[in-house]
Amino acid sequence: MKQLLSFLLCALGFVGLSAQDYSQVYLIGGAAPNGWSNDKAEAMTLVSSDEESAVFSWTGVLKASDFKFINALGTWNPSFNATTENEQVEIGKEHKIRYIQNYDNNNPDYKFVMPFSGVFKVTIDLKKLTMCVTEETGEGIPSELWATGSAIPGGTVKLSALPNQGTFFYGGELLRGDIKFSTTETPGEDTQYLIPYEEAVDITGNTQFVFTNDNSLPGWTVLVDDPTYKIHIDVFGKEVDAAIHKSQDMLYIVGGAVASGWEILNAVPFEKDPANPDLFIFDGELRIYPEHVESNLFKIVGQLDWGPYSLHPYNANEPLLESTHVREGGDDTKWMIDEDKQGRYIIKVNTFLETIEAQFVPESSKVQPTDEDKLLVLSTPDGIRVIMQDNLSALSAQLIGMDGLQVETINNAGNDFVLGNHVPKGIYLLKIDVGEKQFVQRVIIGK
Amino acid sequence: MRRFFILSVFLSFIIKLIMRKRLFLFLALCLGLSLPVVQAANDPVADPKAIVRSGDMRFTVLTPEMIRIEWSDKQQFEDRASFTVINRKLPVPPYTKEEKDGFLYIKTDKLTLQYRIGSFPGTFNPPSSQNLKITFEMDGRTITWYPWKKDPLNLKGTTRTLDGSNGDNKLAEMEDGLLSRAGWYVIDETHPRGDGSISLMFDERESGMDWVSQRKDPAAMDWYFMGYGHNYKKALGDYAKIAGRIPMPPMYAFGYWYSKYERYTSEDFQNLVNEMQANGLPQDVMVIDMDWHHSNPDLDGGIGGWTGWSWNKNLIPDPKGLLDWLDERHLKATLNLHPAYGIADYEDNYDKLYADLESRGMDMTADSIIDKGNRNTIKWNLENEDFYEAFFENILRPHENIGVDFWWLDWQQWLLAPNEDKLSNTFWCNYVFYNDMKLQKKARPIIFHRWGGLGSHRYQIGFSGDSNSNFPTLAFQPYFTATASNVGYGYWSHDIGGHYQADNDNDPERFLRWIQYAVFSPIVRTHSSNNPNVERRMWKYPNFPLMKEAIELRYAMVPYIYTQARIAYDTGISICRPLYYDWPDVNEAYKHGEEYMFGEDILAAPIVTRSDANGNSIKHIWLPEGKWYEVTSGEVLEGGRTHTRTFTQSDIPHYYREGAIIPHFPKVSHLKTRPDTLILRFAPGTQGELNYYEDENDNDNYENGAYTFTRVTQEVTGNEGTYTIYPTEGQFEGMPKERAYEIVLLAVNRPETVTVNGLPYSESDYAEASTWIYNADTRTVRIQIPTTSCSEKTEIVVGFSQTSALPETSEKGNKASLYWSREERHLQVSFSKTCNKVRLKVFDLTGKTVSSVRHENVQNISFYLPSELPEGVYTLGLTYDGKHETEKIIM
Repeated sequence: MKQLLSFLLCALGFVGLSAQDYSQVYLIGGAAPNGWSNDKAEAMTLVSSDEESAVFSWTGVLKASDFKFINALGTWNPSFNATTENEQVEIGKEHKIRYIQNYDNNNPDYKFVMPFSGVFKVTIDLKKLTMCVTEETGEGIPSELWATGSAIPGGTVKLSALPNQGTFFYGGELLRGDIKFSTTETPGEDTQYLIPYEEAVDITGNTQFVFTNDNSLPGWTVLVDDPTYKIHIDVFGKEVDAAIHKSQDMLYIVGGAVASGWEILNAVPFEKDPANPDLFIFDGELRIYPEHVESNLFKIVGQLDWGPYSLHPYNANEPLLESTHVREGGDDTKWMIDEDKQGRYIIKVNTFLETIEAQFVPESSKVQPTDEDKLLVLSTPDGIRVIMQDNLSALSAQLIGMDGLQVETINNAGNDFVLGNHVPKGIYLLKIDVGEKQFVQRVIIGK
Repeated sequence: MRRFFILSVFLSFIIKLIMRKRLFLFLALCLGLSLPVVQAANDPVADPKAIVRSGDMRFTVLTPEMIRIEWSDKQQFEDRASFTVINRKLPVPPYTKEEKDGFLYIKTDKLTLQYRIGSFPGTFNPPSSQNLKITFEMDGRTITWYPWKKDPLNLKGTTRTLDGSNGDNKLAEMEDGLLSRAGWYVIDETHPRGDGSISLMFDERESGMDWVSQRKDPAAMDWYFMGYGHNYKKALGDYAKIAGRIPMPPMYAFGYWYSKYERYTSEDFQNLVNEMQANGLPQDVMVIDMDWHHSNPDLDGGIGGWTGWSWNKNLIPDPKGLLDWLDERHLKATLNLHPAYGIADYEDNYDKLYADLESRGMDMTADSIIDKGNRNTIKWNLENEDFYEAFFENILRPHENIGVDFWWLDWQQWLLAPNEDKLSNTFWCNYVFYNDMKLQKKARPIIFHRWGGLGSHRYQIGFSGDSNSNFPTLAFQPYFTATASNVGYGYWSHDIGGHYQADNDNDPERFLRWIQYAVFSPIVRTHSSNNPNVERRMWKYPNFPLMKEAIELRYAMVPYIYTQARIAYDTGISICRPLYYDWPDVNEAYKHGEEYMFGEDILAAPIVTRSDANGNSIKHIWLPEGKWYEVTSGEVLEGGRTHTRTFTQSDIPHYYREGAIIPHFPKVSHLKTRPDTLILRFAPGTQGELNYYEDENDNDNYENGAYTFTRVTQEVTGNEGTYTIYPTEGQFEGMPKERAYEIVLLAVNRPETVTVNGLPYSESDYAEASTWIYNADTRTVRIQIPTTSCSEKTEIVVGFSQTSALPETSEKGNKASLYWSREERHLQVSFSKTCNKVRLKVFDLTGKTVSSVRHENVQNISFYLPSELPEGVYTLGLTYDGKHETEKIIM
């Protein structure tokens, strides 16, 4: 395709005007969603075109970084640049732009610089050579989305909203069939549908979409049914990204807030829940280590290397205890710990649901957090002490290792007993049978 | 001329078959094996009846699922062979063509193509089906393809190299393959690959070395649409019909290759071989890395470098002597070449090469030919025919003539040839070196180099290059190797142990696991960088017995592997292949990249992670539908689910398909001679079949019918099993006229009677001819059949003592859980219910019982092994209520 496109463009260039191409323009740069990849630059939408103007616009998230415009994908020239070096964008103000065929000393590669991140509309006129950036309030951007179609078990499901405005997530099953997305749960007059830009495409991968009011138009196909699809939708970028989830073997924590610092080979491993291949638990120390760069920050990787798999918060320096979601890849943002909360943390990460949950465990507390209010689990030098509440008495208590093997059993344990005196340190499952009910709780021995 | 010659050879073979009255059987074999009917010769010109023209478009209907689509506004279409496609003369499948309402319709039984007459076939922004589309049915829905439609469901192929491989970082570099869950793929011959190369054309040459040529119309498009749905095997089989078969490597290639990048002297090589032999380690190939030539000016008197062509006599004073010495010990030798930097004036035979090139009219003063500023180096220019002929004659032949058996190419430099537009250096090196060896007709050709794009499957073995030495990198290789089958590139050879290994990191477990993986990979070649602190001599490791056990298993399996190589040649399905080939409609088959089929009958799931503190590895293994014999334990497991299994370091998890018959060699030290005994291992099942393949091992006569198949079957009904070895069909020079057999029946109940061709065999305590042994602990029967004619049928009938010959799968009835603590030498066994009788035995590696206990009416057993037992590997045999399990432990 590129060969023919290049050929056609060259042909046009030869026959026509050493002509500026007014039919297309793309936004590219550190501020743009796809960075400096010139074959993935953001296509701007033609708004109007006549003898005097050729207006394009684009709406989406821009980061506090630089950008410019290129005339075609896959090539750096021609381009539309700022007229001064590192020209700061003034929101709402019209800036001049410069059309450059080839860079040289007289035609330098100047860029615009966004003063801050956010959701913006960029409007450019290729003939008048002007550009304006306005802030988007989010009006007209859907705040809810539903997935519908024969591929959805039950027919319809609501997507969850992610921390970044205009982004949505679905994690779950897809059946072989069809899927589209809608702005209302049931079809109505105002319902907008998201359908693929290209015809007959599968949901898997990265695809562009368009909005339509016409419910009869086809959505995406789902050729492969699977219980663990992950779908991300970026309404501003008009992109859908879907893939069948692959469980990670390992997760590691690395950063200035970790004792081993940014030494990737010494990144600290999470424990994997034997019952859930996507649930990882870190139980360890996070502190501010002044000798480390970014001493209060960390991120999560999937291997003892910086790539290919990493997890980040949605916002830079996001407070760990306020964080609810993780993002795979993308900007190299990190989590931050508070200066007054240094010490033991229990962090649970679910790589399928892309969630994170962190607890700070003060040093004075010997109490281990539990999901059950009928148990009190205390760390002791001799293992763990379990105190049953509400007059419950344990008929049996078992400790099960993370490899699924039972390591200790007490029959008729009673309502106050100790387990784990002779087992290695680590995370275990505690199973308690009180007759009419069983409790299962993750506990830590020896920490 | 060449086609006529090949056709005449084929006809001659047919006549000989008729005269030997075996034609019927030959044809029956072809049909019975479902072999594709491949033409006698490759012909790039399609049958005119398959072609449909429409203006600037030309369509060629190759199979019901495959259509060639060409566009040229000059209407210049290619009928020459291309790098990818060398044969278009296929039987014309039924199809219809119709013009209606401005569209051309071409319909086969499987596809419908619709083309808007007079249009350019594609659209942009967005691509669409407006001008050209193909539709077909898959899983009850209509699939639509149009030009430049994206396919995110492609199952991938391979990539040029694993240089720098660390974990799965090479995943992103893997090119698309021929198979997709979307059900279609388009071979685009004219779209540049990542390196900028395209599939160029071949101009025929009388010499047989067809030469590269540019496309008649550089702007043309040349596509092959493949719409096979999930019939992956057919897609690959049909691809082999147009792109050529996957040639068989010589048998020795499946043995062990010793390699290390190090400045070895002749004496060093000899010491290596002697030590290997002293330690009983079989070997077939000695790899001589780049220090065979002058490589370090500081050490080699100011000459030498990355590229070199002359023996370093300081290290190897008598090259022929060394090569002869290796040959006498049944070892093939390969030398490493980094050809990119040309031939310097200090190289042996430089003057001859210079004179030869000059005599061919080359301007030896041109900068494009000679680098006058750098020792008048004659530049590498393999894209030039004269250079090829002169270089091979003057520089390479002298080495070949003294005993270099094949070449190891390691092209790492500029990926495009400078003197031929869009020519991939990697592909071109593969093609020239392989075909040169083929034309020499001295041995079966083999080139050891990298993947150079579609078509490279015709020129193997693949050298994957410099990987990092760690478990995540090892863990990536099973998936990578099996996935390469999606482009027919089935013979990747990895640096076993890893290339880049840190100092003081001679990790015995990691090296062991890599070797164990290699046993179930195409090629077993240990290697590393030239770090003197990296040890690749297995016998220096404390766990060498386990490494040797693995290599011995490899050699035992060679008859099976070689038979699978023949299947790859016939069907286009490589030995290591993903599970989804056999279970394309099962989602789980796509999710376990670390498991793969090793041939038709073995599912391999090697351990690629470190063991736990007790030296055990817990692995979750998904087994497809059916019953599977777990070779390490002797258990029969039910498929269609995931099993959690525990393995020791001596275990390589692998499973025989129900009813499979796996041929093994007895213990051998090399593969240059054929053993006179064949071991046939019968996996439990009611029926099964093997077509055991043999040929002359190291020439191309197999391509002209010089081979045999020996059919072996098993039928088990109730308490009787019939195991039949049929007369060998076919012939080749040196074929065995007779051989002895050892029949091994796995996971069976105790026989009552064994007869061979009606003659009763008696039970024995020893492996004597014409007797059988039953091992109750392992539940195997071994029947020793003395030397018998290969042209006679041998029928073994076994009557079993119980109502069924076959035991239940392990899931039913009482279940034992074993927990072994290496530190405490403590074994704990828990049963799901009380056992009446339990017997626990511990065997050492020689099979001697070193400890034994019995219990009655127990549900839990606690057992400490005697402290005086030396450290090592032992086998636990647990028998309880008629069931038996084994487990290997390390103390």
